[in-house]
Amino acid sequence: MAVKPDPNTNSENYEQRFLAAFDEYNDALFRHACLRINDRERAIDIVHDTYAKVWTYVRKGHDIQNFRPFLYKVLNNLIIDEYRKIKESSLDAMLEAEGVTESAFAELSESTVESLAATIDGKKAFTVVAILPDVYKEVLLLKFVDGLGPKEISELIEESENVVSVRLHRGLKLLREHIEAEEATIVAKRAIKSKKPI
Amino acid sequence: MKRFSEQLKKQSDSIRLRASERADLRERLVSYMEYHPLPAELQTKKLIAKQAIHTLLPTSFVVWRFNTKLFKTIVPTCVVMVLIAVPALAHQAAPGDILYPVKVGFNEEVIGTLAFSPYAKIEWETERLERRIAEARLLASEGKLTTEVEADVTAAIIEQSQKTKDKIAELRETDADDAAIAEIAFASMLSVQNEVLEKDADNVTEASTTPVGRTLAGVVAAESSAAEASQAASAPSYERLMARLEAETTLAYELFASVRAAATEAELADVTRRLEDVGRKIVEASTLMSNFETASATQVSIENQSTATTRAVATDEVISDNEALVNRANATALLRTAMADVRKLISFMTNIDVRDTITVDELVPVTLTSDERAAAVRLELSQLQQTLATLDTFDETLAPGTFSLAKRGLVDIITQLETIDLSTSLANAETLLAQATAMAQNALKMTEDMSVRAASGSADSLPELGETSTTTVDATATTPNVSN
Repeated sequence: MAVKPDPNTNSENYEQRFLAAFDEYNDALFRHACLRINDRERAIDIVHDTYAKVWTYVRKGHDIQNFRPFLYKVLNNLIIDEYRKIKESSLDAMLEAEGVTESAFAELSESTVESLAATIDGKKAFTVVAILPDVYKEVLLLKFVDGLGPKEISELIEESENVVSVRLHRGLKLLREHIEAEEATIVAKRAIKSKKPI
Repeated sequence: MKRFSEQLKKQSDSIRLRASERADLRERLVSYMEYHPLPAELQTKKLIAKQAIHTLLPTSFVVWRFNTKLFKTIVPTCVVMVLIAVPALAHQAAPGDILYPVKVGFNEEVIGTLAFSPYAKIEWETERLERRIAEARLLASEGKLTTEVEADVTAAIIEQSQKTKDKIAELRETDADDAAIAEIAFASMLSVQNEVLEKDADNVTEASTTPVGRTLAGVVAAESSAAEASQAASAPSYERLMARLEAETTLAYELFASVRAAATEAELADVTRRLEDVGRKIVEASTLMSNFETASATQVSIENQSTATTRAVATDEVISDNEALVNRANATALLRTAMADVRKLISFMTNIDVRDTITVDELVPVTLTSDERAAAVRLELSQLQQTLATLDTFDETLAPGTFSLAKRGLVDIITQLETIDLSTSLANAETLLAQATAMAQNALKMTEDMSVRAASGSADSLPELGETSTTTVDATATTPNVSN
């Protein structure tokens, strides 16, 4: 992802390419941050910190060939830091609470994730994704909003692809449950309304 | 899944940075980069320059991303448009045009700024006033001088005139001579424009529906009179006037050389004659001034001599102080006239609309030379002699005593004129001639009246001399002294 620069390269490119990366990815990074932490102002700060950290990395003489995964990596780390600041339970603790070991989902394939996703309404999913635990929200957003592949996600979150698949599957399942719960609530409300005397 | 992914992504796309947020974020980032620059080995001068451009630009301009190539093309084009094309187009603008404010508020102000000396600034303000009047005439000729426009144009002329007068007053505080000379030029310009407007008014026929407004003409006439009175009251020094006149005549000759190819022979002859007249006035003024200087030098030498006897003898030989001062005043007056004439000639040669409206003779009448004046005196004298011969044929018994007195007076004057030396007493001869001409006209009038009365058989007393004429001359008065 990042290599030492060729001394013969025109150094003007560092600046130009960095600002071009800002222009190209600022919206996507902001969107991701905003959906993960549900705080617009804080999301802006995190995006700024992301670019500042990347610039610092560039200043140290590293030549970043592909900014996108690098930016997402830094952003993701900052978001995790943000969660830690607000003392949310750690990912491991959360997984343990669910009584799941990730190796148990090794058999889950991409096709099962796809078939599960096909059963969910994307519009409704958008309204409830914010209430998902971050471990699921993270992979769901990276895959379905940012368009990253399982391999990229696994590199990004430093987990195996299987773990990514498990989280995706679980996340989608959880998402569907939330949607169904919401729909059930709405139906119940309508039923109550319809029973009320006019 | 595709549908789920598309729907979720579509919904998520609604979450975006606002333009202002993005601009702020970029600015923060650029500032961060500026405070944490690349190491020296990675920096280039060009990079630093680019950073500076981004950081110097105001936030509102950084909202969208600059295309630097386009920027580099558009900015010079805009600069060329604003600084060259628009003022060039505005140069021909008339009141009411979109670019007219650019002409008055930018072009002319810039030119005014380029005039460094106070005199040059006044010259420019005078020219601006001339332009305003010319624009008014242009509008009138095109039928655009409505009452409202005329009011605006007149206000602009008054304002410009006041501005020029203020600048002259300002200059008078530091350099009275230059201010007085500037006033002459200002008055000359107004005189020319007044003549032109009067001629316009004369040319107005019933067919012409758009004469130059009376208000405008009235204002220019009033300004001209005031400027003329003001310049007459000022007294520039002979030396400064001569120096300025040399510059103006040089300019006039240069202009004359440049218009020579386009002018007709008659026009060339007319302008040549006026320039020669100006030259003669300058020579005459120089002669008078040298007389004054000689007189002054002699006076100083006399005062340096100690004996009263010597002083008494010498005083008779020199021109008196008063006469010397008169010479100086006359020399200055001649130069003032020459200066006014040159300015009018320059206006005539540089302004096509002035040339098209009035002749040079109307603007700068010919100044006769001494020989021409002497010839004119001789011609009028011979006419007077013929008139006298006619009066001799009249029966004096029919006339009262006043007729005889008038005739005798006329004879005396003619006798004096016949003996007068025109080379030395030309001015006196002209004065005498004027009186004699008036007397002859009155006498002729009396003879006509007496003939009418004789024919009608009336024996009533004839009117006294002068009663029948608007020109009255005391025939019994002592004839003027023609001595030098």
